[in-house]
Amino acid sequence: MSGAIRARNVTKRFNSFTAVDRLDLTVERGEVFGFLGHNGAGKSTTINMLLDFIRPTEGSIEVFGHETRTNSVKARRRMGVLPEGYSVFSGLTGRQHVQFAMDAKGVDGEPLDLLDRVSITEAADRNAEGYSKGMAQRLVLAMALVGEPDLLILDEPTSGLDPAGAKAMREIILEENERGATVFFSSHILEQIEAVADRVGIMHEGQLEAVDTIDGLREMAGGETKLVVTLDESTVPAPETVQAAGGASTETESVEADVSSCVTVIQGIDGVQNAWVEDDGQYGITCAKEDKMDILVELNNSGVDVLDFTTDEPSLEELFVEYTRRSE
Amino acid sequence: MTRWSTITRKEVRSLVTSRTPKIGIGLVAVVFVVGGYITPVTVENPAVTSVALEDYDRFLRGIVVFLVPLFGLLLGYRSVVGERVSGQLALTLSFPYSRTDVVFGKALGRALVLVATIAAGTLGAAALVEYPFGSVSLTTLAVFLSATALYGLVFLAIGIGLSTVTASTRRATVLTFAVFFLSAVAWPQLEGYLLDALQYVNLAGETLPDWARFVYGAEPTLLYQRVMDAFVADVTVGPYLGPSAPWYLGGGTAAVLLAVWALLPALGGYVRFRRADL
Repeated sequence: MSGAIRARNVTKRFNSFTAVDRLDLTVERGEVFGFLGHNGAGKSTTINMLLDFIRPTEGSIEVFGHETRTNSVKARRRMGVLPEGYSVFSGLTGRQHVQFAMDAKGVDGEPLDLLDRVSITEAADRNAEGYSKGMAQRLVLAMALVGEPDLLILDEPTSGLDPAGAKAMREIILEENERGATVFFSSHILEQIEAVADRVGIMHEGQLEAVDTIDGLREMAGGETKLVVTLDESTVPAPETVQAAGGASTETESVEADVSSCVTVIQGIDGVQNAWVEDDGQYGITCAKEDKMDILVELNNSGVDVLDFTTDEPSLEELFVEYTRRSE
Repeated sequence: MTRWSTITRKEVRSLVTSRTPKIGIGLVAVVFVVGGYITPVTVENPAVTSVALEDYDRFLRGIVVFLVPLFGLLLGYRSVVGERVSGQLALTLSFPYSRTDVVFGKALGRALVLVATIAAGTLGAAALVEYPFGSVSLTTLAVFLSATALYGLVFLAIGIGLSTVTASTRRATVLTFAVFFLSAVAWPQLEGYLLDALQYVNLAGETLPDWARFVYGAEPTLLYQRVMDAFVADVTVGPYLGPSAPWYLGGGTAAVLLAVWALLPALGGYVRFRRADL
């Protein structure tokens, strides 16, 4: 089965500027794909080629097997789109906007149901030109949802939305995905993508730098979790016990030895990559993300009282910065 | 056709609910009607010589050749580029419409508004011409109405054509103004220069040769005037409509050329628009 979107070697040049450079990308059916990049990275250019607003200089894009250049209307029949830089139609109410979308897709239905879903029911009969940015965004989302499209294309869907609106947008994305729709959305905000995307593509200066799951990206960037624990040092067992627990042997002579024995104990636990004493007397541990709970449990089992702990995972932000810096 | 009709309907709806277009449309209709109200006053002794549409045409012609081109151009020049710049076009094209659907759906919607406005104005005027002392021939009314509507459609088509080839509203505005100036002000003055030029290269004698007259006279406003002269005012003299003039300078040919003008500019613009990056 062919993917929902398949881009092959797509290049778009505007005069001498290359907006998209040899893009190869397949978005599988049923997945939520987050398209991440700074402003001007080529995300919108790619989406505009997907919609046939602009034509690739080289290469081709297919949506459900329909070439977007020659068969754009057929491709768009199966899409619901929240485009970038749109404005609402002049002189039409919210309800008439959704009705237009229904007529365009040949769908019968009650516009209010969709306006309800995006929570702008009260404004249904007002001229949409008077809507705020967030309301317009909700309205166009409602239009995109008309006719249960197989593919949702959302260009920066949360721009202009307040936090509650952004949350509602994420919920709708997940609901639509649950229904079976493939969702392709772009964003420059990492949290948005992290919250809903199955896979992420990172665009940078026209090139697709990486495509992977979020965990996969983390791993690729060498991201390890850092665990910071506060221990009750009086409960740290004597070195013999440590030895018995399988740790390396050390000698205990003084109070400082307590500290080093603590580190020894920690280092003796499976999954710990490194352990050290932080400046404030806390203990730092690095480990793989999935091991962190096991390590805490193991510490507890060996008799050490864990008073407090915090984890510090590399954020996608750092990951993203790393990816985009790498190619410069 | 059903695919166009959704766009056409949206177009008409947004024209008649938005403020500026609504005012413009009303104004044009009012000018036509007021013309009909005043016409009887311009006729000497209207109680004896019955007032007819010919009088209306004579009185209003000078206004029509300014008003109708302006109306058509203004109705057309922002139709595509305005939405392209604002982003309404992006919203429309995110639905399963081709660019053909969009351009022709819009053109149809605006053409309907233009024809309805001119028809309402003319019918209102005809009633006022007829009512106290006049008589209106239905044939003349039909000719007047179709020729004037066609004349308006020509400039609508030019406006839409300009709107599809430009990517900025400012450029569209400048071009529209240039077209209006050329057609309404400059072209009628050019006949003398054309004659001088042709005489200079020994292609003309005392007057313009017929082929040059044909080319010069193929400008929309001159074509409209000729159609009205031939079929409403019944003019049978002059280099175009006189007894010795060749057939291709007559009113029938003029009507056909006017119809061509109503199609070509929009088509030409559309062909470029279809391939453009939006």
